Amino acid sequence: MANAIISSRRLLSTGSPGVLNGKTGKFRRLAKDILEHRLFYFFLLPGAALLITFHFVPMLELRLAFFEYGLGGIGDFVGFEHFRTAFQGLGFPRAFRNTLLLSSINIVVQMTLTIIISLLLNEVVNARFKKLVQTIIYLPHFLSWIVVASLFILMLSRGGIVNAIIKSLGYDPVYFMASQTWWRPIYLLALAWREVGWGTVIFLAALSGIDPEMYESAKLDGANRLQQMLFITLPHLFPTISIVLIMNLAKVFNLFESVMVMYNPMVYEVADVLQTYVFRIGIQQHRFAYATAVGLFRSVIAFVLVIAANRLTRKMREVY
Amino acid sequence: MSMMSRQQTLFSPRRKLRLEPFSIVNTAFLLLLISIIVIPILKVLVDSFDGMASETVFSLFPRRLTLDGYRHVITRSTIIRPFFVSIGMTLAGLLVSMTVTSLYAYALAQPKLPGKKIFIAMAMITMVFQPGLVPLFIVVRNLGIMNTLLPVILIKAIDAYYMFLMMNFFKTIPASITEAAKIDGCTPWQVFWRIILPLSKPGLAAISLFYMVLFWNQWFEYVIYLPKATDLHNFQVFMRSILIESETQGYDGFVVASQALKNAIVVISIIPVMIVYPFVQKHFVKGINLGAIKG
Amino acid sequence: MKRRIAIVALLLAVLVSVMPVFAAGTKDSTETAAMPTKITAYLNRVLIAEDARDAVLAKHKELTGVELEVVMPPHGQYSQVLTTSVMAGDIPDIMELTTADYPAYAAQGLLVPLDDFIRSNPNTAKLNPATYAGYRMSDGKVYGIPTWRGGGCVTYIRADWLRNVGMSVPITWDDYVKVLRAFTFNDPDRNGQKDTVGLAMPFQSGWEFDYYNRFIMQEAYLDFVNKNGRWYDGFTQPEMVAALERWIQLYKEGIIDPEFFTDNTGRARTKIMEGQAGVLEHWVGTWGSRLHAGAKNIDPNADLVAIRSIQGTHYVDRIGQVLSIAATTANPKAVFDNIVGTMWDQGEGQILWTYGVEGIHWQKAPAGSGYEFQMLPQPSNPDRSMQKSFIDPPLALNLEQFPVKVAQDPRDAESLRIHALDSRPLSILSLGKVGLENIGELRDAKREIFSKIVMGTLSIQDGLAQYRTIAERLNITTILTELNS
Repeated sequence: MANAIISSRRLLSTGSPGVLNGKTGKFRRLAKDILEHRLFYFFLLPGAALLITFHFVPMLELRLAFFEYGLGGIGDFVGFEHFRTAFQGLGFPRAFRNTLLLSSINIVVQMTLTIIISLLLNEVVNARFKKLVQTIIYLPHFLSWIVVASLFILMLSRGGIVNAIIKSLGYDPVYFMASQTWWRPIYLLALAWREVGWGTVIFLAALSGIDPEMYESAKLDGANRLQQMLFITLPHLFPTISIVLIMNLAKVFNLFESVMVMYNPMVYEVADVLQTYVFRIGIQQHRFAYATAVGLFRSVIAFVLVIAANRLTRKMREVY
Repeated sequence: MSMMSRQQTLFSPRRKLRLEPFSIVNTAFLLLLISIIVIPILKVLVDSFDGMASETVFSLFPRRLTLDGYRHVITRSTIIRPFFVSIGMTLAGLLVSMTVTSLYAYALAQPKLPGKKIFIAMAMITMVFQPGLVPLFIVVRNLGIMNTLLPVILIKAIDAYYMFLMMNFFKTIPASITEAAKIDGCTPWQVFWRIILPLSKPGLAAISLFYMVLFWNQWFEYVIYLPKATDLHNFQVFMRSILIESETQGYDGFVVASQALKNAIVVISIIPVMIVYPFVQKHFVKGINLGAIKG
Repeated sequence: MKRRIAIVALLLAVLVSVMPVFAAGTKDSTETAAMPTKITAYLNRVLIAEDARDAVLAKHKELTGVELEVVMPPHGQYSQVLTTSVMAGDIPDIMELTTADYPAYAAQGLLVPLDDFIRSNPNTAKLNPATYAGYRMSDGKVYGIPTWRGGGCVTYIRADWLRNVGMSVPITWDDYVKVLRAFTFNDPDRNGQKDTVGLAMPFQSGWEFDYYNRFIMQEAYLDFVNKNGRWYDGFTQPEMVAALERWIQLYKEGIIDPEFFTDNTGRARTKIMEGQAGVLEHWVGTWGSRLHAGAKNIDPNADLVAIRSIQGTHYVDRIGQVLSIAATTANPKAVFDNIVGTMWDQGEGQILWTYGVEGIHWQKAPAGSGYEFQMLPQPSNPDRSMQKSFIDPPLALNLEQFPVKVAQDPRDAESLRIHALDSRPLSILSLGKVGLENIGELRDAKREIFSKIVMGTLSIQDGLAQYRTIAERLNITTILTELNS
């Protein structure tokens, strides 16, 4: 295996004319490549400048996770002290667990629903009906989380529609929002309600790029709707799916506002996530170094997940 | 049969509607879906006209019809300026962000770009690692752009998530097309401008929509980076201030923080996006682009 | 050669352009130790720009010769915006601080002590020291002066419901429970449906919890309490057990809103205004008339009144926001005299800070009306009249010398009167290092265990035992020692 790599490299380097040995050849090739692609470096320039200025430069301050840092300014270096405090903290393990659970279930549920709905929507023939459905399902995304939460709380309260139905069936009303059993499903439902419709936008855009000829030839071969979906649509959607998946993983631990508006002390056990925990225990108490440390920890975990997912999808693509 | 006319047949209303069981189930399912989605939204709409709407007891029918919620917002002369600020900033933000993002994304879509991995990693890292508010604030302050509209646009001008989505769209364009263009003598810039962009309309339309919504919904950036220049605050900030004001002060002749007002605010905030969406949605229609260009 | 120079020049340019990003922040403030010509301020509840705030600032400049530059972040983000600015090195000369921020800022040395300034300024020297005594930190110094006095919560009750069920205003705990029962089971709104409950309330966090619920809590406090100069953890005091028993009783009987655990103040207000509950402990002042107006909007017979505290209970004085001066200000005494001194001068300055500008926010009341001033409609919202420009007229620190000059809604006035009669002051919590670290988790634990006890999933004994274990892990003894030092 190693020999094959080495010999192929040599093959490349001796391919270019007038080369003395492998190393000079590589540099020459690199310079040539860069020159050939010089336009694209200009393309990258504005974005890179913005990313550096507004993301990477501020990110340098993440080092404060290892210092004392509060209203009094930057203090002494304390190493992993804050991380130790976090891991031994009462609420941290619970917050971490909830974050993992809620985020992962949410990704699975949301992506499945989004893909299915996109596929189904794609199959709709009547343009007007399709437009109508599309317009309606993306609407919830524009409601702020405070509004969404108050809607759900209203529907699930004692005077709400759900309990009205329950009462008419002869059962006692349920205090949904304070129930550790019900909170998670309700939260995930609210998340899905708000985001799935909006998520279909990107898949529908991807689907519209599929050549209709492929469907025609498949139909001629005798494929039914389901088979067309499985063997033409889905594979074409795969790159989009994997990118969306990876990026959702990257953002997965950012659950904050949605939880803030829907949780309460009765359900901290199942609802408190890292961001809300850090907000209550860190930021509100002016413990900025602690908050930074927990945030850094959160980001590192997300980073590992993203790398892992990236490797996985690349392997799958090779198999494909 | 030519490409175009074949597609016309596909979508022609005179095409026989074969009632496949699949279509029936599909339609039923989608109808169920939209009713689940629509009921709470309908409640928001209905409540905005209901002077006695309740925050704690659910009812779908208005008890006292009133336009006061809307009147209270729209009749303020102070609404005009923030509204136009929002429109201007959304357009400006859209222009800047689409330019920066699509250029970056296209560069990353090149199969053989030396150092591509570095730039990919740069974007990826910004999705995972969040800088705190204070460091970002310090950067903005030190650049001397506090109390200007610049940070509002620049900070969000390139969103890694949207950039990767765009990169993905660019990648789906077959290399054969770009090769053919190069052989025909197009410069890389011409390839981008004349070939790639038109072919990427669905993707570009989708990302444009995302950015538009992002810029339209911004409010916190105004509050924190323009603490003194309050005349540059946008529509969302204005709406929030009405909401807060009504909750803490109330006003004669109208109940404190009335649900009608709250819901009217929600509806008014959504309307501009709803107006824009159909225009953007046109570009999601299946198949038209690829087929036409091939011909 | 040219190319190399070009490259080097480019690199230098890039480096230089990036450098300022790392530079330290400059302080955004006044000039030398001489009289400042400009003062920067962060204020939380001053007028919005559309309500002619500029006119107020112009008049201030006219009165004192100094320009005041005001930044007013939206109320919900006030603390965050101010703290971000402070952390970035931009601290304003004078700022309003919330109750949560004040001890933290003071402890970090960001503020100047105000005692000397208060004494040496003729206007503030006349103020009753009791008005700012509660803000004395553990080092004996006062770092902030309140912008209003007291205020707090009182109990509001539906007097029309009382009449409907044939009961009178409760005087004792037993009366109170009977009233709650009647409100829940005897159809007090006479609509033939069982859709009412006795007491609505918000479930607030931390020390705010103790502002509400005084009738049930009585002598108990959920947060830390200062008894005779010593600090104790209210949750483990003997009074708490009796209070918990009362909570459990009310909850079991169903005469308290069973969903109060998930209510904030807004929702609790809504419940009493919409006629779902008959009793609510809420803020005094303009809420007296507003709650009533809200209730009347739904039920024209509604009559919401404030009542005296029942036997064995008391209301509490809220520890409100303060004005503090940055330690890094060039001339803090001048800033103090200019703003705080003017505010309490019982003359033009106080009029400006309380009522606003003549002709824009208020005008002279017609002779014979019995009042000096009349408030004009709000410029931004003519449906409503102006209430104040910064200081609430009935909550002035020197109310005896500077009484309210405008007509007050009788319900507002009544709520304030009752509160003044029945309230006790609270002391500000000035936590030490360990306290600041662990107070968040401590308060979380209290709320979680409290809810479980009241709902019946934990017995009082077990709940308190659980809490003690947690409190020990969070070094409660150290926290208390710090408080008491």
